[in-house]
Amino acid sequence: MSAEVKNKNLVESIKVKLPSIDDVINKVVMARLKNIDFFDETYVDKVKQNIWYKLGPLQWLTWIVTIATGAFLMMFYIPTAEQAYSSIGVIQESIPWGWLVRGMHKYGADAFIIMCTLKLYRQVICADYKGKRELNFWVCFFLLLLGFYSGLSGYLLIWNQRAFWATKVFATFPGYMDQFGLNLAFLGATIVNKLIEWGMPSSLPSIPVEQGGGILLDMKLLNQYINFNVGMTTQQILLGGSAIGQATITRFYSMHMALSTIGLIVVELYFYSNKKKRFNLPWSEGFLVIAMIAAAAMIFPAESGARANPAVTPLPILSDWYFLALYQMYKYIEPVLATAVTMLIPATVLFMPFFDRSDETKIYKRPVVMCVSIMGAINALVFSILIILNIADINTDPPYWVFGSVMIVAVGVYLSQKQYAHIDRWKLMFTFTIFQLLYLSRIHTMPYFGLPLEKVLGETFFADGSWGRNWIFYGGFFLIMFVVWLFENNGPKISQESSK
Amino acid sequence: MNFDRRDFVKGILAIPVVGTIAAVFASPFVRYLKPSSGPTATAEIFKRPDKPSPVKEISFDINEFAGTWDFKYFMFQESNKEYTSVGEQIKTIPGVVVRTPDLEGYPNFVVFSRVCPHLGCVFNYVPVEAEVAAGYNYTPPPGQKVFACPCHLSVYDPMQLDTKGRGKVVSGPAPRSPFKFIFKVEDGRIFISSLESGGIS
Repeated sequence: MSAEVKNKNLVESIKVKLPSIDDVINKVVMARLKNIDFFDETYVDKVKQNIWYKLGPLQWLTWIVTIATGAFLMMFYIPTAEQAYSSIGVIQESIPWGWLVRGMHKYGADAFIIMCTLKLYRQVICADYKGKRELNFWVCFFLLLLGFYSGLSGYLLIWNQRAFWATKVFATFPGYMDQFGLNLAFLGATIVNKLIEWGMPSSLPSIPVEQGGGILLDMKLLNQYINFNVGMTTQQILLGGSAIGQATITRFYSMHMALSTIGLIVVELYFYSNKKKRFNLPWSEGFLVIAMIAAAAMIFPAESGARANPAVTPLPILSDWYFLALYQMYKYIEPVLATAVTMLIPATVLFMPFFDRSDETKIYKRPVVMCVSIMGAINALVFSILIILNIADINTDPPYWVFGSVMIVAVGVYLSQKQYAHIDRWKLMFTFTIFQLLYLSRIHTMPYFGLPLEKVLGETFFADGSWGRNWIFYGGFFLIMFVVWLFENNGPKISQESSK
Repeated sequence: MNFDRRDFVKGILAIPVVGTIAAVFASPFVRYLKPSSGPTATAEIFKRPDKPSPVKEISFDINEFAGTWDFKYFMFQESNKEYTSVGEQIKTIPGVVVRTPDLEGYPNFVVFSRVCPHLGCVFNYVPVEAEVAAGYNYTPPPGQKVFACPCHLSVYDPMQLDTKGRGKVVSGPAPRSPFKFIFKVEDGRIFISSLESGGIS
């Protein structure tokens, strides 16, 4: 063999082959699109073995029941602020079978949300999203979000007190997004101030030392550069104005139907192109579920409540059952943080399948995922019970539920550690330290927006040991997901090592 | 389905074209969704005959508030109009006047907008301490009268100050004290002219 050939072989052998972009798209996106599954229609055999795989077809069925009954309600409903409430009364009292159609619309929608939630949990427990099936999880999650938005926009249409004030709260919290940037700026200022205090030379304009010292933040200028009015614009687009009025009803009415219609078209095109069965259960079971919805409508007729009054908020005021936990959370924690958490929860659920990358499919072999799911469910249940029974104490409760949530996740991390041989102890210690800080951070009311800088720094970041608690809490949720990745994908398993 | 290099190049070439079209269409679309901030040019036949009544200054006789902690609710019409699909719309803001004990450097009245600075519900003046303890998750010290919001249980004390003035948050998640009406006391009457800028409606 000549030297040239030898050299060439050497070059070939050390050349690193980078994946080409079309390769990446084929492997990452196309492979997942090929596995797509809307309503468990690809699990034809599993439906017969495992009862939980019936959730997909039932999800489709409850959705269709809701759309069909909704179409009938549209014939009598009048979407104006003056007549909406009365027309609901007419549907309920005067139209033949109107109460049944309305009841089935309401309970069908509730059933759809229950099916979506249970199916999401099934997908986590049975690891349905593994093997390049993450998009299926997303489909179910977006259907749940569709259910939430339709539920919210749907109950405003009744124009009763509960609807009015729940919409008010829902449409107001995005406004706090405008303060995320300012919060970050304050955090930056805190750090810079500490550095200046420790002797960093600085040419920044600063407050005289006798007034507290530190760099000067020009609030108006900051607002101009950091605040893009995302929150305010979202609010106005949602409501069609700065207050709930006729424009809001019109907008909610159109979106309430548009989203389901668009979804229906997509689903029908999908089933048309692949010739799969929409409902792969015996129809007797389908009729049983429809009968159950109808029975619910007969036994617990849908309520109308009192007509909306923009001047009076009634004292025990609740939202629909699926938002109760969030509603309770808004009582506990300050609004900017609550807004961030409201956005982080769906983000966390959305990316969870991508963090859970081990080959294990048994839920108890993935303890962190198991415990995070349990933590979410317990929090939602406990918060809902607290708000229904009205037994919460918003001043003293937070440490208990923060610590409880952290401990459940910590159990998951501990179980995960037992399974794997290769664990960096310091990483574990670091995680628990952060969790401990989270517990100590005592989320409580602390009004601070729009204060002068020295007050902000004094009262928010260094007062009574609660410094930076916001940022620790924000980080905590991401940390939980990071832990999943950290402990479940690294290192050889104990069982494999011992067998050798 | 297969995605090859040719498709990828095609896709790359499409980005500027699609991006331009998206930008051209997205901006008027967002503008369409946003409520209009000025009067809309509408033909005469579409205009609504019944205009909302003009903004009026609200005034009360001071004698209506003879005793300490006497109060009165009122509705205030905001000066800026909104333009909607059904014509003009003037927001009404629920407000409250309360006669308070002396507080150094402040008048004997608080005039608050009743719109909660937390998430926009309408809060109440709750003079009965037992009611606050039962309904709003806060037990005020004896003699302390408070404002309290039914939605998320924020409680405001008019005799304590934060940086925005009277009505410090003593319980609950609200980020600041209530928004205040600008008022003056003249000739035995209290005149309420406008609302502090900013805030949730």
